[in-house]
This record gives sequence, C-alpha cells and structure tokens, in this order.
Amino acid sequence: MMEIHSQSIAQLRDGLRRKEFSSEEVTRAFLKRIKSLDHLYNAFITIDEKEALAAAAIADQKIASGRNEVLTGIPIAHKDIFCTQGMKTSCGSKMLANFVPPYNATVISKFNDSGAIILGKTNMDEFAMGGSTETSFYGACFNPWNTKKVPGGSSGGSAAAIAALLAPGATGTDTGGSIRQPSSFCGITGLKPTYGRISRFGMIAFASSLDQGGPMAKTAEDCALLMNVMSGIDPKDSTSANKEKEDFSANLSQKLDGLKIGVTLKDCSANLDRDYQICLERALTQLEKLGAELIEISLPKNSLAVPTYYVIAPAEASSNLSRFDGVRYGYRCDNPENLLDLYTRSRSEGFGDEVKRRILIGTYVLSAGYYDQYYTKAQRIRRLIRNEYLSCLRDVDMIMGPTTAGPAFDIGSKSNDSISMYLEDTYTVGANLAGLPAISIPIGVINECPVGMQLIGRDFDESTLLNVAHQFQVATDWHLQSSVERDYA
Amino acid sequence: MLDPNWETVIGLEVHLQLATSSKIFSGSSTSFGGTPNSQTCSVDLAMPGALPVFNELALRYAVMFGLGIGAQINKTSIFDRKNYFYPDLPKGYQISQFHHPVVGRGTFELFFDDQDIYKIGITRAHLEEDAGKSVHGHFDGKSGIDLNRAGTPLLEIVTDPDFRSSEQVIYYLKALHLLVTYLGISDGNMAEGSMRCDVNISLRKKGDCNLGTRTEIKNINSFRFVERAISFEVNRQIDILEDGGKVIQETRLYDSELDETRPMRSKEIANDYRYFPEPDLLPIQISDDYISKIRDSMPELPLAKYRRFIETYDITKDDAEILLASKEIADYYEEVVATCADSKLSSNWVQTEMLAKLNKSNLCVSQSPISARQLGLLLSKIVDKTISGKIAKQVFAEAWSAEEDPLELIEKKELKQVDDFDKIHTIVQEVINKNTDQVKQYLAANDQKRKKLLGFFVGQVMQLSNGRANPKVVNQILNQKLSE
Amino acid sequence: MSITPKQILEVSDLARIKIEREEVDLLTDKIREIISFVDKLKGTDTNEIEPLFNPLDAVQTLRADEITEIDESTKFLSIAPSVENNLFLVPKVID
Repeated sequence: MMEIHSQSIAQLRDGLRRKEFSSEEVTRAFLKRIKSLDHLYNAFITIDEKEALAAAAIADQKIASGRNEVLTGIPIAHKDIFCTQGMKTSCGSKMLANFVPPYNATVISKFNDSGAIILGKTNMDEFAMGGSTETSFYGACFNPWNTKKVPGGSSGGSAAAIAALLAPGATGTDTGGSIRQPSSFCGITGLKPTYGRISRFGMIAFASSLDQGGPMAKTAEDCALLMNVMSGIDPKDSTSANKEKEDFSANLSQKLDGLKIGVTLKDCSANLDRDYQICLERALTQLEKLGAELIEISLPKNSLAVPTYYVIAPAEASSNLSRFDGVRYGYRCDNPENLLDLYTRSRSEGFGDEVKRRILIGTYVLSAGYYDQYYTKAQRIRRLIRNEYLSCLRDVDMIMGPTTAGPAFDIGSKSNDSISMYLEDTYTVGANLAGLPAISIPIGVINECPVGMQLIGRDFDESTLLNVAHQFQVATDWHLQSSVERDYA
Repeated sequence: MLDPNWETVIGLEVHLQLATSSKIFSGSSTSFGGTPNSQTCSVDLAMPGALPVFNELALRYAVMFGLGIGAQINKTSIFDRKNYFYPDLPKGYQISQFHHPVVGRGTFELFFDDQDIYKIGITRAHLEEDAGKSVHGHFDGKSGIDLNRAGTPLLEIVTDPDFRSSEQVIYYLKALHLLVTYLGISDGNMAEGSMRCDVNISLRKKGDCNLGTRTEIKNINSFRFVERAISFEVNRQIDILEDGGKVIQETRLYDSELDETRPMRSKEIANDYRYFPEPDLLPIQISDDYISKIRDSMPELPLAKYRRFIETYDITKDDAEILLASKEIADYYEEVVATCADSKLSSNWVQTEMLAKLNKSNLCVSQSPISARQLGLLLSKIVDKTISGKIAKQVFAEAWSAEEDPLELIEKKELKQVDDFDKIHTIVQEVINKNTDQVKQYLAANDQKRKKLLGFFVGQVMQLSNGRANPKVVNQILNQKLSE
Repeated sequence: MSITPKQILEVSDLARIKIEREEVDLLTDKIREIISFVDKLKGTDTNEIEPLFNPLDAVQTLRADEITEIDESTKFLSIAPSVENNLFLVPKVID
C-alpha cells in the first residue's frame, strides 16, 4: 500500500471507507510528519494535536456507523486567514498573534460539517500581502523543493505543506495570485474560484472586491472535492453568488474534443524564461493531443493589470485594516498616553513594514484630490480588463498562459524591491480584477523547481477548468513529482 | 432681540433611528438600553472577517419616507465607506451613502404655521449605520465603549438652508416627528436619541444672496436645546460680525448645562473621510414594483389628514392641529366620532376631557383607561339625551379613576336622565311647595328677574333629582306651574 | 507631481501609522516608486467607461428584519485587551 502521506484526498477517502486505515492513523501520520519535518519549511503557524485527534476519533465512530460525509476523517490544513473558533488565527501578523476567534469562518464551518479534521493553520504573508511568505510575523516559509527558495505567497504555507506531504489538502486565499503562484512554485494544483463562489465570511479581508478563498491540493480531482465542500451562497456574505449547488467531481471525465483554448504565450514570451516556455509549449501539445483546439489570442489590456491592482488592493486594504485599533481584540500597545497614541502605536507596532506601506499607499490613493485620479481611474481600467477577458471568452472556452514569470526565486532576492515583487503577479491579477476563475497545475520542473500553467475560465465555470486540469493530469505525471525524497536525503 | 440687519440662514441634518428590530447590517437587536455590548455580534464589533448584510426593512422605511415627502427614489443606490478613527466606530469606517442616496430631492410641507403651507427643500436622505457610545466619568480617567447602538439603522435627512428662524426649525422638527411616527418608521423619541439634529447656521446681511460662513452644531437631542443652541450661536455670530470679525467654519457642540456652543476638540484634526463604494455590499436596485407596493400600503399622512379633518368633521384648524398631534390621538378621535356620530362634540371631549386628563397623569393615548369606543358610547348617550353633558363628565371622571366602563357605571348608578313627565312633575311640585317665598317674588318680578329666579328653581329640581332630570322637561313644567 | 515627505506624513496621520523621522525619506522614495509605477494608468483613455467596483455582476441581496444573533458578549469581551463593566476601555475620549 502507498504510504498514507503520499495519498491524495480521494485515495484517503476511499481507504477510510474501505477501512484500510482509520482517521486516527491518517491524522497521526500527518501530525508526525509535521512534527518531524516542519522545522525545515515553517509551513504551519499553529497545530492543535489534541483537538485534531479528538476530531479523528469522532470521525472514526462516524465511519464505523456508516455516517460518512464528503470528507469524514480527512485532515485538512487551513491558511491562517480563516477564523477558527477556539484556535488562534493570526493572519501571519503580530497584530493578531493573540487572537482566538469566538466564531468560525463559513468555510471552516463547511469543512466541519463535511467531517474534515482541522490539521493546523498554515503560514502566510502578513495579511496576505506578499508573494513569497517572507513577510509573516512567524518567519519565512521555505519551498520544500529547495529550501533556499520561497514557496510563493501569500498562501505559501498551504502550498509548502502539500508539497512536503505534511497535509493532503489545504485552503488558500487569492487576492492577486496568492493561491496560484505558490501552487506553481510548489508543484501542486490550486484553484481560485469565481469571485462570489466561496463565502468570505470569517476570512480576514485584504481587498474585499478581489479576495477569494479556494482549494489547494495535489490534484485537480482533489480540488473538485474540496470545492464541493467550500462553495455555495452564504447569507452572511452579501457578495456570495446565488448559484445552484454544483457537484464539481461529477464533471471530470469529459473529453476535450472541441474545447477551444485561447493561448496568450505571444503576449508574454519576452518576459518568460526559455525553459519555462518549453514547458508551456509541451503542455499545449499535450492539451492538443487530448482534443483541444488552440487559438492564439491577445490580451493587451493585461499589461495594465498590475498597476490597476496596486491601486485597488491597497485602497480597500487601507480601509479593511482600520478595524485593527487595539480596542476590541488583537495587539494593543503598552500604556497608551491618549486615544491617538493608542491607535498609532498599536497599529505601528502591530503591523509589519509591507502592510504599513500598503496602508499608506491605499490611504494616499483614496485621499482628497487623488481619489479620481487613482482609485476611480483604476476601477475604470478594471472594467476594460474584464471586458477584454469576457470578449475573448466568447470565442474560447478558457485562456491558457503561464502562472508566474518563472520558477520560485531565492529567499530574500526580492524583499527590497517592491516593484519586482509586484510584477510577480503579472499573470495572475487579471483573473482577480475580472473576478474570473483560474487554476494553476504543474507542467514541468526546471532545475529541480516546479512550474505551472494557468487556465482562466468563464464566470462560474470552474467545472470546465477542473475537467481540463484533471484530463491533463490523467495524461501526465508532473503533479505526481514530489520533493519528498529530499526530506530524507 | 434679533438684529434686523442680519438674516439667519439655517439648514438641518436630522439623524433618524429607524424602528427595525434588528440592525441595519446584522441580526443583533436594536432595542434601547440593555447591558453594555450585550446587543452586539461579530459584525457590530468589527471582528476580522465579519461582513455586513443589509436589512430590507431599513430600505423599505427609507423609501416610505421618500414617498411621504414626494421625493425622488433613486433606482440604484450605493453604500460607501466613510473612513475615520473613533472608538465608537469599530470598523474605522462608517457605512453610509455619499453619491447615491436612496432618497433624492423632495419637499417637506409644513402646515402648522401662520401661512397655510411652508415648504422646506429636502436635499437628500440616505441610509447609514449609527455609532456606539462612549461612557465617560468612570474607570480612572478612561472611557468605556458600548457598541449596543452601533449598527442601528439611521436615515439622515438633509434640508436645504431654507430656515430663517428657530421657530421654523422647531415647526419642521415637530412636523418631521409627526410624519415619521405616522409612517411608523421611527419612534422619533428625542430623549432616547432616536431623532438627533445637526444644525448648520450662518448669517448674512438682509438682502444679500450669498451665504455666509457657517458653523455646524452637532447632535442636539431636544426641541428646547435646538432653540437655545440656535439662539446662542446666532448671537455669537452677530457679535463676531459686528466687530468686523470672521466666523470660522467649524463643528461645535451645544453644552446644555452652560447653555453655550463651543468648538468640538475631536474635530480639530482635519479629516479626510476617503469615501469609496463599500466593496462588501453590492449596488441596491429598487424596482418600480417594489416602490408601487410600498406606495399602495402607505398610511394617510398628516397633511392629508389635516385637510380631511377640517373638511369632513367641520372642526377648526386649531382643533385639527391638536387632534393631529399624534397618530394615536387622531385615530382615537376618529373612532370616537365613528361611534357617536358627532364630530364637534367628540372634538371637544377628546381635547378638554381626554387629553387634559392624559396630560395631567402623564399618560399616552394607548394607556388611557377609557377606550375610544367607550368614550364614543358615552358621548352617544349625550347625543340621544340619555344623560346630560354634566352627568357625562361626572361619569367620565369616575370611570377614569375607577378604570371602569362608563356605560356600566351609568347603569350601576342609575344615572340615566329622567324624562318621565310625572316624575319630574312631582319633584317640581315639591320645590314649589318648599319655596313659597321665591314663588311670590317670581310672580311679582319683571322678566329679567324672573329669568334669574327660574334658574334657582331649575337648580333645586336638578339637585333633588341628583342631576338626572332632563333640563328641558324641567323648564317646561316649571314655566307651566309658575304661570298657573 | 511626485509625492513629498510632507504628504507621506499627512497620510500616515490619517492612517494612524507612525513613521519614525529617520524613516521618512526612505519610505517616501519607496512609495514614490510605487506611485510612479501605478501612474502608468494615466495614459489610458477611460472616458465613458463606468468604474467596476465589484466583479460580481449582481445586485444587493436583502435580509429580512429578524433578530438572529444571540448575546455572546462574554466570549467577545473575553478576548479584548481592556474591559470593565462590560465596556471596552480606551484612554479618555474627548468630544
């Protein structure tokens, strides 16, 4: 039998149902790996072994009595941005280092209802602001393929945990690429669903009109399973979409014949590493072999996506992060002299540099005299960008391109160069601005570091993305390549 | 005392708490009072990840107000964030409406004025959330924050600078209070802060068409204080202007203990609210169907009722004004009329008996021990002459204090008017027999004196009959007897 | 016109973020760099383009006016830094 920690969620589910192993064994297996290996990666911020094992015991009783839910007995890691009742939720920040929410995020409640076990909370860039998981108050997270490299971010902890086989699946959030880019850097599969597909309640807000939670796992098949749990309208989130409940697993065996894929490689070729281009072209050939029709397209407006994003995201963030004031929860400075001092010192001591910088930029672009010039302007360009995507997606079923500019970069190599860090998001932010679903799946390894491709789909058509990704993974084995041998080397 | 050279220009912003049972963006209760912070949830406390969900009834109430003043209802309206730091504002921003309020331009018609109708332009009315409260004076120089009120729905009603005196302002506030209580969208209780008022005041030379520099006096919560604050502020500004000085545009606070306005220190730091559309809420679309359904269910408004009362009930403007002072009084009055079918009699009784008694015992109409139907039935006994007006008053007073049904009281105490000719005849005879001197005087007297003496005999008869004898019959028999 | 250290200080006041004196110049440079990066947007003609504030093409859903929350203030107050008599304590608030 394949080792427990190497199995996919689907395999674990089947094994549990067949009683090949118990939930307790599964949970212990992952907890043991975390304990012995996570010092190498720093993928987790919080683990509650006792709670996890208690939940596993309950799951085993349920399995014994045949009361299985979708994920009964399967441990899942959660990005430390999702509020977990009774379990610290730090958002990677000193500001929330002592924050134990008295409530669950809707996504967490849904996982609880599905029978899943909370394995732990994963590391992330502070308040999800970053693309390397280096800005965490809990220290940088390291890429399991090469610990000198970043795992990507901001959901770097989740990606690293899956890549290092410390968790079979995890949640992430994606505001400008924070699921897809770390998925690409760590050789896993990650889906950013359509804006509105997954409730944002209890998911600590970075930029409200861009944030979207999503699944991260080894395979597209697992992502579909996690989507079944996570998605759906939530009366606590006015921006969650009123869509029929879908079974994302039911649509994974469609042939790709007649599927039209728009290809944007010409737009990006100048900026792409040559080896990465080869991987992308190889992936295209594979998709063609599977029956897809490739159509060259161009998205010229996408060159405006990163600057547009870096107006809108900080603007919304500057306002969203005003609630962290040292009054009702979280960090509070010692002996405030007066109210202004309480606010200013609590915030200045509680937030890290990148968060403060983005708050200042956001405050600036919203301030009197600059609002129209920056904020309104960016929102107008946002519409142009969405319109361009929609117009392309009338002709093709999805758009294929790179997820990142190349494989994972070295730790520290970009921490002092904001613009170059921001440009990491070049290929991913478009889908956030437009609200469209996008998936990243592994397509190759360059110098022992994985790379992925991105597929962007139509509004609420995650199903087709997952099917294409799954068909690709049935035909290839890039998603099965793993960094794990190195653990023991 | 106002200097005739200066004209006062006043505009108002009224914050009206809407009478929903839950908050505007959360399912917490809005009830007044309660243990601090016991009526808060993750949304009201601005916990990380908490999101607002909009209360339909708050929207309905805003639309009702808009229709009530014939204002434009904006088909699309948008919530914005108004960003500033203050301890009673947990999110660090208030969800409000800036560019696209629910209610657009409208006109408020005042009718309790010397002229029949005085019109106040309503600039807009928008929805927003109330803030919490700071509790001072305890805790060793610190302030305590209670967020029970945070998230209570507010309708902010902004007028044009159309007022020229504090009297007009008070008229408007009273009429506004009346309108919103008629609509049932707010209890309008100023003492509990359901209706709070920001007053913008500026002065200009008579005949000048440009507006002067204004000051804003925040958060006044009684009619009396509004009047006083305006009076103080007008005099303050006149003093400045007469001395050749300039009024500074600023936010001031009315201190009712010192009876003065002074600059608010918390507003000294220049604020830039950085309004932008609230990304956690989508645009509100109001359909024609939604509006017309609300329109169809609107109650009769004070002005329409005022006109109808004068026309159909044949009462004076002054009477109508008193009877319309609240919807409860008007409803009470109408039920009395419907029961006894005498609108003038009802008007007199409701005003002089009912309201007087209520005022005296500090009760509101709904607490009256005598229901409208009971009063109507009592008055119908006057109308059909079962009892006299005087007896009715006694019955009313007794029924009020004993909290009994007036009609039962009439039965129990056998207070029905005596019409029986023979019975009254016997009593009259008795009176004549007892007062032979007066009879003699009567017979010798002239017409004028006779009238006076007749009064004396009537009084005697009424006394003997415990006031129950029908005065008409008494007069008739007395006249007959005394001329024999 | 590019952003000045004075503007950075004004913005930091608004945002209640303290900047140490010795950091101002460096931070101004960093933010100026980012602002000039987003200034790229100015070259695009957006006349007659409506802003897109939220990508979800839907209208606001409304909640019925019902009290759905129970009193959980004990839990919430227990995680607050400073509480007395059920109130969140802050330095004296001046009106």
